[in-house]
Amino acid sequence: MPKRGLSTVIVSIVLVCTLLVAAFTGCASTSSPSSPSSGADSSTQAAPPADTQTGDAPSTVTIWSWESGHKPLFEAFMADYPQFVLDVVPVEQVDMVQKVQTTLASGGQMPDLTLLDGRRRGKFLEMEIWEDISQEPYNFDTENLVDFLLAKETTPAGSYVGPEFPGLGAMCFKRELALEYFGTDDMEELEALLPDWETFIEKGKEVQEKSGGKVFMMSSLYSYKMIHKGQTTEPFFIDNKLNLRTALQPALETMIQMKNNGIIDIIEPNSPEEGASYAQDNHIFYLLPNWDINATVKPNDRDGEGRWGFMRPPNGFYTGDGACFAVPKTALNKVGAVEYIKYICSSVKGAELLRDISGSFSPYRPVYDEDGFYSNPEPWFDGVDCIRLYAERALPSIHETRLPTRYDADFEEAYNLVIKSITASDGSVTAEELIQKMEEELMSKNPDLVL
Amino acid sequence: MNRKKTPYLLIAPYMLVYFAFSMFPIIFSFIISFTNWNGAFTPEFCGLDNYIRIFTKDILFLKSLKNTVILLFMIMPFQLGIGLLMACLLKDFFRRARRGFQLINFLPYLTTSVAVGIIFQLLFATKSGFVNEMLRLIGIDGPYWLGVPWLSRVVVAIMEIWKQYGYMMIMFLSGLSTIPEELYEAARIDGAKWYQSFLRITIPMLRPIFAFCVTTSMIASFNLFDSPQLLFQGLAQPLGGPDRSVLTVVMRFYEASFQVFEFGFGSAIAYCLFVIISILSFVMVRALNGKEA
Repeated sequence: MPKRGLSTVIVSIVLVCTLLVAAFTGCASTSSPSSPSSGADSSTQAAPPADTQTGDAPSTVTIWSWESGHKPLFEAFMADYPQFVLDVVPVEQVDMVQKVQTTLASGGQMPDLTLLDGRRRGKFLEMEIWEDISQEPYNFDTENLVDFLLAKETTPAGSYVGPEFPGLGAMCFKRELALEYFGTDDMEELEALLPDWETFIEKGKEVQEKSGGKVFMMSSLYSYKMIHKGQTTEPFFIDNKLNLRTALQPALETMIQMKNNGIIDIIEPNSPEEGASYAQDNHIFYLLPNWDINATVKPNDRDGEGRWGFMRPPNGFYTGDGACFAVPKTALNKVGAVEYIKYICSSVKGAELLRDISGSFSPYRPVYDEDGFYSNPEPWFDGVDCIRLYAERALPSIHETRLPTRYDADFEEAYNLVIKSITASDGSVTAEELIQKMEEELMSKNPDLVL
Repeated sequence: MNRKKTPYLLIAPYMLVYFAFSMFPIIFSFIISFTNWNGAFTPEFCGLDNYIRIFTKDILFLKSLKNTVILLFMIMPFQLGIGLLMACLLKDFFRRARRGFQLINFLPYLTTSVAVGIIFQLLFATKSGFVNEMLRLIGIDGPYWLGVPWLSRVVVAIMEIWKQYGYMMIMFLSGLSTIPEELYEAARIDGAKWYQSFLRITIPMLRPIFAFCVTTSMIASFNLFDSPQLLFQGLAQPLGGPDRSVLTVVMRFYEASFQVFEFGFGSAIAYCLFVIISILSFVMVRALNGKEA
């Protein structure tokens, strides 16, 4: 009996230990920088952590990024800076905020470098948990950066967290439809024909009439929303005070007019249905942020060589929300992270790589002074040099952007909600009602907000 | 001595894992429901403020509660009705092909929610959706399913009914197999028709299964999250669909906790939901099972 009892106890102990080790494996609060990360795109190489460096062994820089197409960029950095190894953890853009916030909440190890998404940027900047990379020992030089972005990359306390790639927006059109309904497919003539949104609506009515209601100016009101939001700089919030009646009501009135005149179609934005519409002949104009040429137009209209035109939208070019780099104060290899930022965002080589690999614009201003640095005639746009037009026309026309606030994500939700209401309305909805609805929703979610 | 310790040692792994992954989060979230905490800084004790805010200031919580109850009444009767009907049909009329039909009806339950969300988005798209294409063929101009509040609820209800009725069917089939065949034979001899046997024998004998199905279906409806979330996923889509018409309590909890990062407030919502579900489950079980429950 005693012998049997002993073996049972031993088995029990072994089982307990095994199960506990297995169960708590994932509970470690800090991850070793030398351990490879999971994920297909990870470019991990075994390396000791920065704080335990010995000799010339490279130090690991952990990056959380959704830029899966930037792999050649990471490789180029590692080739030029052999003292660093990048451990790139792929995180979907929609999941990034959650990952950062839950890591903070659980006391987990933050990465050395992450991206702050537009919608939540204001909230994150307010937390003051990011390194000021313009200070010692990093000394990141902000003098040579595209200046209108600097304010939205700085925390309320004045810490500069990191640069971003300027998101520049234009509009594209189907040349055949433009020729049929406006009598021209020339960029300048169309821009002269559609100088503002009022004219856009008037022309839209004519298109509706001529096409028997089959051809629309745009596929959804969301396109107008994105353009208008990037064109205007009037703040939606002044400190904790709502400013929607001044900053947003005119835009809602324009949208209601668009809807009531039937010039905009009812297609869910970013849906397969919208994707399919690029190859059809029912919608003339689409918004065109610089990344959309390769990410949206070409994949959705595979046989569309020469079918597209580029133009300035009514009222002018616009900027997107963007996402800036940020180095957490608790990161293990902050110096390495800033070296990577300098390489990508503050050098001609970085700008070249960005341009050639992802088609993104660099925040490094000197490259815009170099004639022909950004140039690449687009076959889909009948040889129009879109990237040059962005650099030479769009960028110089933008001098200011709206600053991020802690309420931005809630504002986006409420804005999308009223766009749905306008789209589904029978024409009876008013901008006043919608503004009231947004105010109620925003104040309900943020009890500190006042009218 | 060893004999006394061994059982404790054997259940220790389960208890430790249970405390780490179930009890600790339950207690921890209860504690933080009395705090303001965004995850980054030390939680600040705020007493009952979060609970007071839920019922006095947060119009979205009350709206989500209303939506959840509406969806519950739109989903539960059909889920149970179709599940029961399919189970009876399979038992009485499709004996030979029963296994095949059983599998076909159960497949939606096994389909991943993400795929279901995408399928329903495509089915109910305004311009090129299959449903509106069909309506167009018979001369009806299809509505804006995912843009009108009540129609969005209908789509979510269809999605949930389609997904869950197979599970109910399996539950009812297991209940049907426990009803003695002699009862049906006696009824047949007495000249009872199929529907009479169904009403007088099947339904009363299935009462415990009904109690189980109604309770679990009600709890599932109160925990409804993935279907409406996936149907309206995307950067341009408001959480909870048009006019927040399919915003459920769990979605509101998710929004407060993991989108706005008010972990304290989110926990308070979760506890309110827990209390609501507990009360309703208790009432439901008492009502269906009488005092035995």
